[in-house]
Amino acid sequence: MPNERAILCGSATSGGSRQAAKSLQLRIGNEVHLKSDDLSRPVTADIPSVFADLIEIATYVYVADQAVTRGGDGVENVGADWRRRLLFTVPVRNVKFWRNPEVMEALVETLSFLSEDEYHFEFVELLKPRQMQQYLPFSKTGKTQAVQEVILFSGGLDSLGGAVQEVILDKRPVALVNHRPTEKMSRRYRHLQEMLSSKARDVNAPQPVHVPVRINKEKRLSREYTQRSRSFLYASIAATIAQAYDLSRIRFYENGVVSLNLPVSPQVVGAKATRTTHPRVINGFSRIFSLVADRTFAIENPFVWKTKPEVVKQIVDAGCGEFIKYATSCTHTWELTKLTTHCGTCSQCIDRRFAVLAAGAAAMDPAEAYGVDLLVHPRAEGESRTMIAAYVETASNVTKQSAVEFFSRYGEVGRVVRHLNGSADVSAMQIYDLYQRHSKQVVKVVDEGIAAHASEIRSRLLPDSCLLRLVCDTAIPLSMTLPTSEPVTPQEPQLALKKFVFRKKGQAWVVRHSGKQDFILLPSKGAAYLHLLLSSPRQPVSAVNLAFQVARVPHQFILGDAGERSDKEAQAAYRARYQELQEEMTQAEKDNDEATQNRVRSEMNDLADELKDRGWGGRPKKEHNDRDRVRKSVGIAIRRAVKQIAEYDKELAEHFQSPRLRCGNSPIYEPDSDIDWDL
Amino acid sequence: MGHTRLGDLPRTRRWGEVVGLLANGAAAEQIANATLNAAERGLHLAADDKALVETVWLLTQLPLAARAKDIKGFVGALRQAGVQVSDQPGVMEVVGAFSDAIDARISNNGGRTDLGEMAQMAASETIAKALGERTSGSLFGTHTEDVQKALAALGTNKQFGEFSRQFFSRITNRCINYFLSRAVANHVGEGKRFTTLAQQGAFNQALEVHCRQASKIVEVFSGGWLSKTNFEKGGISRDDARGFAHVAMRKLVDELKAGARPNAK
Repeated sequence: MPNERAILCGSATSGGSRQAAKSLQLRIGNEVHLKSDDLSRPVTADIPSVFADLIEIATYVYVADQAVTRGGDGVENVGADWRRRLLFTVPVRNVKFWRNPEVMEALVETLSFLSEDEYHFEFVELLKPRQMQQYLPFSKTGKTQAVQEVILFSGGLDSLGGAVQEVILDKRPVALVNHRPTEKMSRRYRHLQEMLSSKARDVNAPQPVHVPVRINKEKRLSREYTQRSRSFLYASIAATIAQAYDLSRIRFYENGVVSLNLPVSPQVVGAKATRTTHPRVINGFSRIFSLVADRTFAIENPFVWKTKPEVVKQIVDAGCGEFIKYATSCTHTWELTKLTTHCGTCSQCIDRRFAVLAAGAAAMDPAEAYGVDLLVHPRAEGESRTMIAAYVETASNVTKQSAVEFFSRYGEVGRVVRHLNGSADVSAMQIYDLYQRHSKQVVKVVDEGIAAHASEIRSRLLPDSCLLRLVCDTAIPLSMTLPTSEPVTPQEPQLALKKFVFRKKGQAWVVRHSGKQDFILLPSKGAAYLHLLLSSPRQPVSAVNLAFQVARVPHQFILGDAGERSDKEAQAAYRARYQELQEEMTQAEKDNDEATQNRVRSEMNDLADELKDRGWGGRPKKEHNDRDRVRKSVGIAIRRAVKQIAEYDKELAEHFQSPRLRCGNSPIYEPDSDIDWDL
Repeated sequence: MGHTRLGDLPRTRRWGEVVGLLANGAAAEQIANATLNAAERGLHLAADDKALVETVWLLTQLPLAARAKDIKGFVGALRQAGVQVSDQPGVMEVVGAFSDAIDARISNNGGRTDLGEMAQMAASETIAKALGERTSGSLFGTHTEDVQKALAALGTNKQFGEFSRQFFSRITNRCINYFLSRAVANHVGEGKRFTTLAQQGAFNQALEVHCRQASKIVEVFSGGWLSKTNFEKGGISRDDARGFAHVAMRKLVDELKAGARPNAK
């Protein structure tokens, strides 16, 4: 099992009955620290010790999730290594409880769906338990501020929307639980916290209680950035806080599109799209916390049927628009600076910016804060461009889909429909409606962007790789460009080809045999030699001459000039050609053929000059095996190209076999009957 | 929250060829062929994915369950196969319960790969489409009688062949795009293979059509397999399903490599 790790937690020193090739020791208080930053207003409560176990288990899971890397991105083994096998040995205060099969099943089922890993837990007796007060702001005495709701407050836009809903609109006393991953985020979070408190005072609402929790760990434990299990820790802390306030419910606020997180690209399979607040995960957390609290414990996501633009609009309508710029959505936290608070390339940044623009809140979210502007900045090849292309294409397609088309395109909905409140049919209908609304909101932003920048698009003033150029064909007058919401099925331009073709197309060869489907042959020396042989059918061409012609003008055969100077084969071809000319000269001298002598001399001089120009010295010295080496390499290159052709057209590959095509010292192409190749 | 992870294609010779073909305007058929060649080893490793086998097995159980003489029998047969539906399931409940049944069977992700995941999703999509089309395009509020009738109709040679073709066409298309989608967007823009995203979309459609055409061979093979195996063995076992999936996938991949018949519907 290549991606397996034993996680030895706390005082555990061996994996018990399980054996794993590698192990990782994690100890709270040593490699890992969990604490609340703000103990100024402690909650008076006597929390059952099983909650302390819960928090420690969640912490170990969260840290292991970051310390054990996932094996690549799935190309080599179709995602097998993405799924890790994690064998935890965790000392706990309540061994009997955690070993209960029902608890174990709830834990494993929920976590394995959340992070798509394989989990195994072995619980052992904890000998030296730490006090809950060491993690969270609890006190056994004193007065506790009344709280009616505990909500998870990440400091992103959706959770800000939730805080605005609860604190400003509903004027409810709430506790906002925040897990702070970095100091950079903490500063922005504190600012947001102050603004919320200030606004609460303005509208005579109760002051929210902030419960910031921080995890510090040794740097070597931060190896995997996907952090799929983060919401388990976050929710476990919130559930413990809720327990302290004698509440049996916590709330996540996450818009439905992100919560369901249907894949935006075919490469996004399984948990490569996070399941942080997926309805199945929410239900799983609820099941775990109900067992821990020994009473029904609910987890709600009141925004599950809202889109992000709708959340933003609600924030603005509540008079809290100025909060938006302090909410942080970006996951590339390492790129963030005081001025550039969002990278603009990750999925969260793209989603956020579309939402802000769709909600008409651009003025509250400065464009300068984005490293890459959503509509008009160039996007680098790779994730940035793939993400924006996938996001917009998905939205554009969904707007055109009927319900049947939508559900027969997103099988992932099958994982959702039975895990929401209400019947599967009603949930499905609501999901379809949610995605239709969201897609239309995204497409509207693109269409409005095209309209606003029409002149710059037409005159090609915008960068080639910016979103607006990617959706508009500037070869077509903009007035004729259809908005992205219109169905379009453009065809790729087709070449009018003859029956037999072997000619250059861009940076490759287009090949066609007997009028069949043409195909692309990527540039190679073998393809170039084939082209030369087809150009002179029935005429033997010396292998040296073939190699020399290609080495002399590699651009003509679309080989480029990369590494040309160090190309030993090219040097050998020159030397061998020079040798051939010398032999010709000797013969011409014997025959007293002055004309040939002059031609050969001139050619030898030219060749010597070229060698000099290329930095390969002047007149080459004879090397005995040059001609043999060139003959072999030409033969190998031709056979390799024919093998390549066989992958796309077996008949043509067969056609390029002996006796029609022969290699050796003087390769020759002799078809059975004359063929009019388009070359 | 809501993070989505994207990746690139490795810089190996095989994948470099796929990227080269993409950049140089090769047709969807050729690119599909090159992609399958490049991915061959990984797909071979994943071919025994338990979720893939469970998915194919469950797909065979749907029309067999629908042969029950009444709704009670139909629901009972679904439950026996692990599809935990209510007493009166509609289309979307069957779709959801089908997916949940696979997750329940492959608990804790043991032995899963992305191929199994893609198979599971492709199956949900195929069921939604098949039932949606056979219940007058309505996915919501459909009566259980209509669901049973629609699933029972899939039990004939012709209909199961078409149903199976839909599934294998989808899984293949998903598979090819699983790899290609890591590179395609890099070839959009002025002076590149695709001038606009819409052209990239047209390429994706061409790939889909190609997979559908190539999967004709699975339709012919699957048609007789279900009724013959069910008749001869008195049911379909998971081992039968594993063998069926292997043969169907092999036939389809061979067909894709050979080039699909252009006149297939």
